[in-house]
Order: sequence, then structure tokens, then C-alpha cells
Amino acid sequence: MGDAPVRTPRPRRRAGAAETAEALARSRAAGFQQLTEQLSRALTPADIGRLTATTAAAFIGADGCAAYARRDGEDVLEALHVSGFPGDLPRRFARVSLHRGRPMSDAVLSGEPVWLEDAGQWHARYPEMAPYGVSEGHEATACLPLRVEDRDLGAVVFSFYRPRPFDHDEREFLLAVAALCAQALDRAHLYAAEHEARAAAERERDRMAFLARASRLMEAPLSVEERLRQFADLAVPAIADWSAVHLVRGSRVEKVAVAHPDPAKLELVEELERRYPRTADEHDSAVDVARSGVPVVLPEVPDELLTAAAVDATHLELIRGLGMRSVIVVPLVVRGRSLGALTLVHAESGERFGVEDLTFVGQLAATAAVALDNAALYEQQRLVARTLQSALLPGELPTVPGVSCAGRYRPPSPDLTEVFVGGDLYDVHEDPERGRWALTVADVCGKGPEAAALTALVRHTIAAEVRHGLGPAAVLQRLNAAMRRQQGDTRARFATVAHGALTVDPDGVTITLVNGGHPPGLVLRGDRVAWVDVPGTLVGVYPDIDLTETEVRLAPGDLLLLYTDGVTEARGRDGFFGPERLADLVASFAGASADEVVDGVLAAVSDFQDGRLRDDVALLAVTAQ
Amino acid sequence: MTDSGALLRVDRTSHPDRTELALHGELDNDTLPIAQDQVAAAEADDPPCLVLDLTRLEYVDSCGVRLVLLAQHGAGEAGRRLAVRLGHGRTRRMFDVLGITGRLEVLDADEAP
Repeated sequence: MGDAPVRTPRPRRRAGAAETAEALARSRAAGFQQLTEQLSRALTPADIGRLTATTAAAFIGADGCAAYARRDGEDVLEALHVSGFPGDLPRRFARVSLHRGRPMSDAVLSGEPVWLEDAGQWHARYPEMAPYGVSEGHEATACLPLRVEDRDLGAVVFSFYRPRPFDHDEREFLLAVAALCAQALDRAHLYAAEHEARAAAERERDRMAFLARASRLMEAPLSVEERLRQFADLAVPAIADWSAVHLVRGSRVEKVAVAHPDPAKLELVEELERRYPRTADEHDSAVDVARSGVPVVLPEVPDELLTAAAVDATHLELIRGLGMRSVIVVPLVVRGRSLGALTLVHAESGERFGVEDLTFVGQLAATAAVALDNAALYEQQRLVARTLQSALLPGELPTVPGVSCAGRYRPPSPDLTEVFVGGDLYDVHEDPERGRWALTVADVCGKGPEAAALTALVRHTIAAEVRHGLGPAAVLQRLNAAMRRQQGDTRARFATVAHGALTVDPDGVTITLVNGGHPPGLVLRGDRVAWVDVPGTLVGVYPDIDLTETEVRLAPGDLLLLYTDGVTEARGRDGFFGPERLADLVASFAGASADEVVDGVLAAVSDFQDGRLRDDVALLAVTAQ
Repeated sequence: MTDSGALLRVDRTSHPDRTELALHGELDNDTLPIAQDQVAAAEADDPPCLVLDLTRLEYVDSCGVRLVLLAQHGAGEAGRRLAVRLGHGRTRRMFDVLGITGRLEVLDADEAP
């Protein structure tokens, strides 16, 4: 700050007293104006202190000055600025404890100035402090409290090489200068408080924005691990220099993410872990917090802690290399259970975590914990769905002598449906007593648990009725009755079923086929395709259903393909897959095995929808050998 | 989640002898509940005959069949006639394959029930 020097009016000798007094009053008025201007431009307590100890001191003709600030309610004064005092006095009196019986303390504690006009008064009134007060030829001292209303802001000490009679006018003058400094100091405090409040509000706003970003990330369609990795990345350097996430996995606690903006630092962590793998009994705050659910704040990481944790000198060097200064570890708690821990570390930023940060970091951890919990529930649901789905399909098709069978099932793409249990099924059952094999492809309309329950009913009813020796039409009649019983009054869930009884003879295979409202099957003979169009009513709704049994003969090499409408109703950019495209496709598989045909059809249907199936697909192909 | 509201529209026309619901857009698992609500609302007026017009749908899968079967069930319970317009395209073929065209009162485009 380029402050203009304030002219220093010296009290003159008695000659021309009235004239001199007038000149003095004028120059003092000008000096006040300048000091006021300079003080009004100063923003911080340090600036005010400096101006008080330099400009104001020069203005009043002091040879030494020290300005002190008192923090709210503390019994300590801290020097803002000291000038004109010899030797190590400034350092020695940088911090002064309030102590009655010392001039500045008395001024501060009583709120009344202490005037010492010469060395004699010093020795008489403050013998203990006199050696400092009058060192290096200082004589007079004025200790003035800095107060604004009831706010106790500190004190200012003006010291003079000559004895100085502090008469009434002189006292008024010095007190007026001190009051000016006190007001400026008060304003600077208010400004600092406001600045701090604004900074705190901005910090709070930034934290809220960060929480919002973290929440959005937690909803992103990513795996749990990837989400937590990105979560850790998001935290640095926004709110910490290092971040790590640990998860409780059974009896173990595993680190799933660690982040630092500098890749070299991350390599250091890898090296550390490679060279000094953690042992089970070792103390680790992230692991402890993940297990206990109790957060830990270490505002300072003392070097002794690192020394104690280090196995040897190299280890210590590596740990020190991380530069950890301050650490906060909070558990990832949801529904009273700790799922892991979030660790944030301040290192090279030099910032500190305190207990006051627990709320924010705790909120952050809660965001991650809820997302983790949801992901776990979702995984669980998928597991139930997968388990249920596998119960609806045969693990492996039975071996039918003289026939190759191949079945495939593909659920819709996970991104197009919610947790899915399909309604399509294929199966091959043996009727050993009659030497027959039953083929089934069925599609229960709808999806979800109700559809799954009906699908299970379809599968098990058919298996049971086949073993009872019923023919294909009778099996579907029984199934129709069973579905109607199961559904009660709301009979809108139906199934379409293609079902056949297969017998093998030396010249080939005969299949007696019925069709309960199902898309027609296809027979491939050489490269010619024929539809097996058998009329029939869907199953599970009407009390009576129309079914016609038709015989399909397969010579060696011939193939019968049954499928669900997930094939023909598949929609792609070119419209519907449709029966014609299917017939052409199957014709192109002349000479192929049953496995090749079902794989080929599945691939074509998938490609047709750009790899994303909207509906599930079941396929069953049989070839006579 | 798709905004299924935009994918299916149901227009309702009341005649002295019947209420017609004409479905536009896509009728699938996502939009079935909307169609069901509309059918239920029409049924609540207790018309002598309810006509479901599926000819203007751009897409319909087995959920369209469920809608018709539910309406048929409701009509049977209430002693009401139910008729459907299926046109001559994919929708009609689907009902044919399912073997239920013969079990429904099927109307041609402008044919009155």
C-alpha cells in the first residue's frame, strides 16, 4: 500500500503559544484526515496494526509503537505490528499474556489508559517492567486500550525517547488517534468475520454441489466397483488429496478404490502394497472403521504414527512419501449395518480435517452406502430371477437315440427390461413306457413372477402328463384345465404351446404335433422349408380348446424347428423379423446340425435387433439321424 | 423408463348402441395398463356393446390379446356384447394363429355390430 507519509507535528516550545497552538491544531486536523483515509483503505487487522504502528506513531511523534490485538475472550494479546523497539523486544513481546500489574495489561483490563511520562514514573509504578519500558533510552510511554463500545480489541503502546508530559490536550489527542485505530480494527474484524462467513457459505454450497454430483454418480448405470472407483476419483482433488473406499466382504475388508490426481502417487501406493502386503493382524484405520462403524478423525498425522506403523526404514520412507497430513475415515452405514469405509486424506494441499467435517463426509458416505445397498438388493433380485429361470429350463436335454436335439433360451437384454423371469420354455421329456419322447416349446404371455409361476406350471404339468402316457392333444387339454384352475377368475394369462410326441423307427422319425395357438413350426428337408401349420386354440383361458393332431415325418437329415414369437415378432430397423425371413434363414442351413441351426437363428434374431433382444426367445430343433 | 403415455392413445366414441375404443400407437406390456384403464372406464358406463378397434395400432403383441380376453371375460360377466376390429394385417394373423378369431365377434372396418 503506497501510503503517503503523515507530517509529524512536533509540540513546540512556549514562544508564540497561541499562534503555535493554532498551527498545531491545523496540522493535526490534516494529519487526522490522512490517517483516516489510509485506515479506511486497510482491510485486515494486520494492515491496521501496521498503519497504527507506523503512520499513526509518526503522526503523534512516537519513537516506538506496538499494536496488539486481543482475540475474543482470550487472555492473550498478539502483536499486529511493532516498530521502533530495540533488540529482541519485538520477538519477546510478540505474544503477551494479560497480567495485572503490567502497564499494557492494566490498560486492557481496566479499559483506562496508562500514562508514564518519564523513566521515573516507570520505575515507581512498574519496577518489574521498567527495564523493558525504558531500555535503549525510551522514557515516556502511553498504553492505550483499543475499544469500540464494549468490544475489547487490544491495545496500542506509544513510546517516546524524551519524557513527555501527557497534559489534557495531549491525552485527548493520543486517545483520538487510538480510537481511530480501534474503529478501523473493529471494521477489519467485522470484515474478516463477514469474509469468513461468506467463505463458509461458499464452502457449504460447493459441498452441496459435490454431494449432488456424488448422488448422480451413484445412480449411473455402472457396476458397483466402477461406481466406487469413480466416486473415489470425484473426491480428489475437490475435497481431499487422497481418497479410498473399502468394502466389507464376508469376513474380509477389501480396498476397492484409491484415488489421487497424480498417477505417480498411485504407483507409490501400488509399490507400497506390493512390497509390504498387509497382514491380517495389522492395524488399519479404514478396516477398523469399516468393521466398527465408528468414524475416525485425525486432524494431524504425527510422524510418530508413521514410524510406529513402518516395518523398516524403506517402508517408512514409502509411507512418508504419501505425504499424509490429515485423515478422516467414515463408515458406509446403511440400515444400521456398516458396508465399508470412505477414507479422505489431506496431503500436499496442507488442509486439515476436523470433527466439524464429519457431517459432510458422513453424508457423502451415506450416499455411497445407500447406492451400495440398492445394488446389493438388485443383485439379490437378479440372483432369484436367475435361479427361478434355471428352474424353468432343462439343464441338459436328454439323449434321444437316432435324433439330435438342440434347445436355446435367451432372455431379453437387461437394459431393456427390469429384473426378468421369462415366460418362454423348451423341453424334451421321455415317456419310457411307450418309448416316446415329448417335445415342447411354450410361451406364457406377460412377464414377472406371475408369468414365471405359470411357466413352471406349464413345464411340470406337461412332464407329468407325458409320463402318464397321454397323447399330445390330451396333454394340452390337461394343461388347459390346470392353468384355468391356477388362475381362478382372471383368466387372461394364456400360453401358446407347440407340443409333439416323437417316435423313432429305422427309417426316420415321426412326430405327432399339436399346436395350442403357437406360431407354426418349420421343417427343413434338404434346402426346402415347409411350414407345419396346425390350427389350435391358445391354452389356459377357454374351458374347451380346439386341437388337431398332425403327423410330421422326418427322414434322416430332416429337421423340425419350433420357436417362440420372440423370433418372428422381433423388431429391428428393417421392421419385423417375420416368418418369411425365418423361412429363408432356415433354408440357408441345409445340411447343418440342430445345434448349428438354433445358434444361427438366435444370432440372426439378435443381430436383427442390434444385439438387444426386446422379448425372450426359445428354440428347439430336432434332426433325424 | 419410457413415457408410455405418449406411446398409446385411446379414442372413445359413444353411440346409442355401442361404445367404441380405438387404440393408436403401441400396445405392449408397458402400455397395457393404460389400455386396461380405458376399457374399465368404458365398461363402467355399461354400454350394451363394447367395440375394441385394434386396426390403427402400429404395434401390438400378446398384450393386445390379453386386453381382448380380459374385456371378453368382463363382457361375459356383465351380459354385454364385445366386438373387435382386427383388420386384415398382422393383428388379424396373430389372433388367427392363437386360434381365437372364431371365438370373438370380429367386425370389418366400418361394420356396425
